[in-house]
Amino acid sequence: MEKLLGILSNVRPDIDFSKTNQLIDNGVLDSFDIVMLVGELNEEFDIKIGVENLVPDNFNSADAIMDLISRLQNE
Amino acid sequence: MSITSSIFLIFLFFVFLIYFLIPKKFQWIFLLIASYIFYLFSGFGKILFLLFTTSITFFTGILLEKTDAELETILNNNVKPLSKEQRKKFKDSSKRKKRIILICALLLVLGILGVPKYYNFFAQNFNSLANVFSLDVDLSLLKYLLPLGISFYTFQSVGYIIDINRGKIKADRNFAKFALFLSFFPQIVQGPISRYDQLAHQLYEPHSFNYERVKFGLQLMLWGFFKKLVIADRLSIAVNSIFGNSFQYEGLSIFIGVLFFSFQMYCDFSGGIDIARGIAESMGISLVENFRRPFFSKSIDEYWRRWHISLGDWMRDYVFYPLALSKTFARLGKFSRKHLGNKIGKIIPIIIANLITFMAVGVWHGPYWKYVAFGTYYGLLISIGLLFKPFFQKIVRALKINTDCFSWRLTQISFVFTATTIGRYFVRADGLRHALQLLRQTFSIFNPWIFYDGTLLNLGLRVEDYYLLLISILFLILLEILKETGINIREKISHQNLVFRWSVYLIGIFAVLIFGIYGQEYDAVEFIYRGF
Amino acid sequence: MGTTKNFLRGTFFLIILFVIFSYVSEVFARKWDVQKYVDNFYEQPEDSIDVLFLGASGFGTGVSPLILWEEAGFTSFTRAIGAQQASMTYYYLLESLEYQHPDVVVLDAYRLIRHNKFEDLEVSYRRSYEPLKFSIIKLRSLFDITSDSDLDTFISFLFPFFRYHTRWPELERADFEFNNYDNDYSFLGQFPYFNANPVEMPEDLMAPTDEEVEIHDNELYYFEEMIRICREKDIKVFLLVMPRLSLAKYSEYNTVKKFADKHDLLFIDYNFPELMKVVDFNPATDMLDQSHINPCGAVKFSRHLAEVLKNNFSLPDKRNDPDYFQWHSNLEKLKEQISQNCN
Repeated sequence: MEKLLGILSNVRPDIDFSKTNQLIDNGVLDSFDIVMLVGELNEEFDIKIGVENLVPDNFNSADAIMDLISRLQNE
Repeated sequence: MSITSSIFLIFLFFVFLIYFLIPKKFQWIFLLIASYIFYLFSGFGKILFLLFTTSITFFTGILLEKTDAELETILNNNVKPLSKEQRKKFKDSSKRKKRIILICALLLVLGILGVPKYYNFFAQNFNSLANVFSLDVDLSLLKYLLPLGISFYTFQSVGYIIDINRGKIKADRNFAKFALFLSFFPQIVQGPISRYDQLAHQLYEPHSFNYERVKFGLQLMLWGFFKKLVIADRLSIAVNSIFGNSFQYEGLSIFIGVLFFSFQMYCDFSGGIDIARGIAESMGISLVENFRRPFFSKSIDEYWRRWHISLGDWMRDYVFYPLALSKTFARLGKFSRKHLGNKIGKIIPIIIANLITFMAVGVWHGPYWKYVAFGTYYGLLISIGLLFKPFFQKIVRALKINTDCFSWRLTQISFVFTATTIGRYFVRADGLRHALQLLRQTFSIFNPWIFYDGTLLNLGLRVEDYYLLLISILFLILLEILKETGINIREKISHQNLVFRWSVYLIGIFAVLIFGIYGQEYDAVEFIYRGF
Repeated sequence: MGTTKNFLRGTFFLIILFVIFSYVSEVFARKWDVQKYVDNFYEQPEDSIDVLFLGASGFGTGVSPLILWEEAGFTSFTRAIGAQQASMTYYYLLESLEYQHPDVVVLDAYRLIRHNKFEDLEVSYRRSYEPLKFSIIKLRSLFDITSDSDLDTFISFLFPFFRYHTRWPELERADFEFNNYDNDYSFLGQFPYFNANPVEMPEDLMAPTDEEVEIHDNELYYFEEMIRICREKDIKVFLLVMPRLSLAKYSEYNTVKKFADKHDLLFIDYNFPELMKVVDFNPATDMLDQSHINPCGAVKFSRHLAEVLKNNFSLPDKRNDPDYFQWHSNLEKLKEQISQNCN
């Protein structure tokens, strides 16, 4: 989780990811942020996030992203 | 039929009447019939295109699911359990099969859109190129009118197929129901481009007459008519005068023309969308927003999230993300990070994917070089913004600019407005050369005297028209500001007293009836002349 | 229940909308100069008119019902609208017969041979159609004149507001005071334009020839219908053409004469120089413009016309009838204007 929060603040240092919950629905993260984030996450966690995973439920909060990572790591 | 024509209003009246009187389980069937009747008004032959795309898309969806089902059967229902290798082999061959189905479908569906739309463009350029090399080739051009809404429903169907492929939705097993999804008449003319999971179930569900909802829907329609008939169609008179004789004008005259065109474009497009959404809302169906007060954007990429939203979202989900997250682009990313350093290297694949996406957006608008330029222009602007974002932030901090105040917000909005106004040169001009010519003409002279010497009164609008436009646009801006601060106008009105509410409705209706640009222009002199 | 309340509310709103729309329509409507003539017709007591003139500006400028009254004592009315098409004349006849039962109907035979280009028809139709009171006959005329046009044209006639809404920057006081004309008008349909524009008598006016002109199917149909209806109701029909000087042609006379003979109708054409001499017509003082006579001229021709009508049809003489006292005072008003403007 620590690693994830670190990556998130790298992409968007202006946002407090421990507190924000509607990252996609409220347009906090835009498509560029997502792509950068996905690139980093793929590298750091050795997973492959595909386009089909880019749904609000998976990215609306740091916890949601963590869940996604765990799921993909277990495949 | 045009959505602001009398025949359409009569059509709509009967659609509403029948829709709410028939048994609810037939409502979707009726909508299908009404949509096809509406489509037939635009020409009998064109309906074949719609049916073609509908059929291909429908059967592709089912085919894709069948392939998945076959894989399931093989993997799970085997007497003899399979080895890991065998499982992988079956999975891979299934994936290959699905890819082939997908590509064939996309080729067919996008082809039936692309060929009529872009063939002439390619032929013309091919001819020009051949001429450069003194080759005696001359491809003949097609004489063609595109089927109504083909750019919209094609994208809607492509989204559907890809969503099925991604496992996001299940294929529709009812051809008639699916045909309705693609042909739903309020959205077929100019969008919004809807997603299956958002729209389809609403179309098929029964809807009862809800007085509040119908009221809100009609109000939204009224607002759309106001923007279109009172503002947009009025501005278009002046805009057409300027652009039709653009060589006569220079400096601020052209700029005024483009400025007017910006308002015209926004009011016309968003007005049409409001009418479409209002119609759907009255019937209990919610179409996605296509505009969210784009002129309040603080950056260009925000602008494209507020303008023609359904197109932007579509491009993001089906062009940008697949590109940017693809293996090729991942490799590109590694390459650029190696050679250009981590910070810049990370951004390169995003910038390139973004550029390609915007060029697609540009070309979607039409088969002209000016639209290629249009797309490239925005792609570059955003890319530059991305590349230099940290740099700009440093400057802002160094100059100690306050970013938390209204004036900064205004600066950002002005910048975006200026940039998009320049972009609009490419939309309204006759072609790329004309657009560049117009830009040159605009900056060739600073001539504020055009506001005093009567130039503006020679564009087909009278003084009263300008007053009317001023009041209307100020009113529009006021409402947009209220909406931007989160106020829901229609709800606010509904909480007021009856006299106020009805006054608002009546003033709105008569404003459209009296000030709308429709019907013949009344010329008193002509009337007298044609007398005896 | 909620539904009933909503239904009532909605209906009530629509009623208010309709009321306001009617008011706004009236404000925006074009205020026709002929409205006062049309209204004057409706003001006449039922069954009080003996002779009905139906036609266009030739009649409006050339026929003077009050002079006819002075000369012979029968009552008449000129239902004339500038450039009226034969089709609208037909509906004017039908409508008139709802209010009056004349002994004689006089038709403007100039409209039999005159055929307007399609583009010029809109104003002509509107000028005839719009001033009429709402009636079934008016609706019938609406369907007739828009039968070859598109839906939008039909709607713009049914609801003239849609034709005139672009007038919003030009509205004036007269538009809000619906009866913006001189309520004193009482000349029974005669146009009160007292100007005189001297016109030269053309040489070779009505030079004889064997040629004829064409009668278009449209005009032929409506004229024959009007004759048929009058015959059915035992009304005599009389064909008349008022002077229009250089525009008049002998060939047109031939055509109308043939038509009149075919239907066994009396026909007078005042374009013949001999007739003009009889009435002492003077184009220097008696013309309104190049092709219409003014009231000074109308007096002369109407005196002659009164004799023609008296001698050919049995018409009453109501000059001593107390019910028609108003005609004497109306005549006085006309004569005052005439003495002021004519020598």
